[in-house]
Amino acid sequence: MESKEKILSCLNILKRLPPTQIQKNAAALASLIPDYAEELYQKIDKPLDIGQDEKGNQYIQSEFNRDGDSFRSHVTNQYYPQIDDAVYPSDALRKLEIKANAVFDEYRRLYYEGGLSSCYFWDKEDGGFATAWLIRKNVEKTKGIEDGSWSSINVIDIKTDGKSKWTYKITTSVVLEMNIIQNQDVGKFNITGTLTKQKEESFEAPAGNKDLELFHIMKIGTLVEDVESYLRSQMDSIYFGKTKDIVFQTRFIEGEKHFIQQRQGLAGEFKQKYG
Amino acid sequence: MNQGEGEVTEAEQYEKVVKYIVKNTPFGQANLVIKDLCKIIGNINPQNPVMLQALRDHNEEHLALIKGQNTQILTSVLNSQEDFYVDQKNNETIQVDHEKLEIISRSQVELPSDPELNILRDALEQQLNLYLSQQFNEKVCGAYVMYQGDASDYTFYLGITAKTINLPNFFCGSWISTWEFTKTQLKGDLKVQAHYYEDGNVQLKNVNTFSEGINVDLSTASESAKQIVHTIAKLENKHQAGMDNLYNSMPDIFFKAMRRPLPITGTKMNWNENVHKLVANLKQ
Repeated sequence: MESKEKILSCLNILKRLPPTQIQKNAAALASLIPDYAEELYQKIDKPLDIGQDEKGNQYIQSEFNRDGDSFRSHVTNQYYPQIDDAVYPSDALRKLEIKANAVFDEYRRLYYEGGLSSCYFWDKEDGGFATAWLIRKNVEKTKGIEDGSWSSINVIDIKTDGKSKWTYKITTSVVLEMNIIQNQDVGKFNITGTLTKQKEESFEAPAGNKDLELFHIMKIGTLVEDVESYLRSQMDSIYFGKTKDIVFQTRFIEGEKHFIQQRQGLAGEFKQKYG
Repeated sequence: MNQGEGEVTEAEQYEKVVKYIVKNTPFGQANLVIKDLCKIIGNINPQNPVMLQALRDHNEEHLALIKGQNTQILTSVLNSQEDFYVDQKNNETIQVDHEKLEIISRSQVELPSDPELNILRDALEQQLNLYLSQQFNEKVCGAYVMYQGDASDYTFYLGITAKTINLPNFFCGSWISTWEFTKTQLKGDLKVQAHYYEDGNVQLKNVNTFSEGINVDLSTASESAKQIVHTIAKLENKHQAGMDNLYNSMPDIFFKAMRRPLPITGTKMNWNENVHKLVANLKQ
């Protein structure tokens, strides 16, 4: 399918462009494929935005609670700005959504000690359902950091075999931005990026489908916790460790070039010999 | 698509986008990006003038190293003419293949030159090559020295660059610094970039500017060249030492402010307990 190939090419390009400009990058590429722009935007990971209703309740704005230019709040189940004829979760799913938000808020409190969380659910045509569990945390000026943000985008697809087996497939992306306070030694310093991981697990529902809603929340929550924790440690080593390695093998600190290249050479020899 | 009546042509529509995208692509990945752009736009290949121009701009901005049989040149906006590059030292104009990063042809040309400045330029080149060999990844590195003016009133332009390109392991990096000096003042701009894209897209962007008073004595070119390059090295070393410090202290500070590895209790969240407790609270 031609559209699939074009979208794939767009995503390939986005992986190479500076993630600090993701909005601009996406808009530029979307202008080349206006018929598939919607589809492209849905596949892009970018920092999450926060909206606020007239009472001051905050909710996260994402592709998963968007209809046109409006966003649905997990607090009120209303779209802002108001629209007619919008997409809502079924009553049963909305009940699950309310419970999930209460539990996920506790997870946010325990791990993030701040920030904002939102869960959004939607029905799927195959009889299953899907959900996005989202977190946005900002870091203000502190100890050398000018500003920074963390956005978690956990999307879980839930299917059943019709009997008692439930399969949960999670795709998690963490988008991180960090600006260092401009200083003379280093100038302007920014690291921004996204890491993504997928995982799939299946479970047997409790006997008689007792407390199925709570079961779903527990299983989804545990998956989110696992993958987020994994990505957090990956982020640490890639965000900092890897970017530093790349720079420091491009230019060496005074006196270190010979030493480092010798070490690399030995490692290479070792690999060759013992594979 | 939209044609006539002063409306933008199809080529003009995508030209702006192509320029923007290729300009912002990390060095080493431009050819791949152009291939993908051709797939998206359709009915166009990398030899299209729009693509070639975008690639040329990209190479000039990143001080691309172009190799020939026994010579090499860095492409920059400074030595760029309509369809060739000027090699001031060898009095040549050079045509290059921007896709293959190869020299296509060279022609002799007569360029204005000043014998005293030539001596300083050659001494600077020698010092820069020494500096490169001591502190830069020699796989892809290079420097240029050019000047404008004459012995009574001159400006020298220097460029230093090294690149790391490791596509099979999903990473690239570049160190690009451009300098200019007059008799009494040295100024520089540094751009450091790193890109890692296995299962994601993480990029470091670091820019810095430098300014230092100097005193150039053309009669002792060798000594002056040593001092100038020594000053540049000192400034770049200080910058990199600053990066080292940052990398040592930031991870802790940053990630602590973001997300704990575990809740303060030291154990993972008890979902069972929390689910029952919180949902019960909801009912009230």
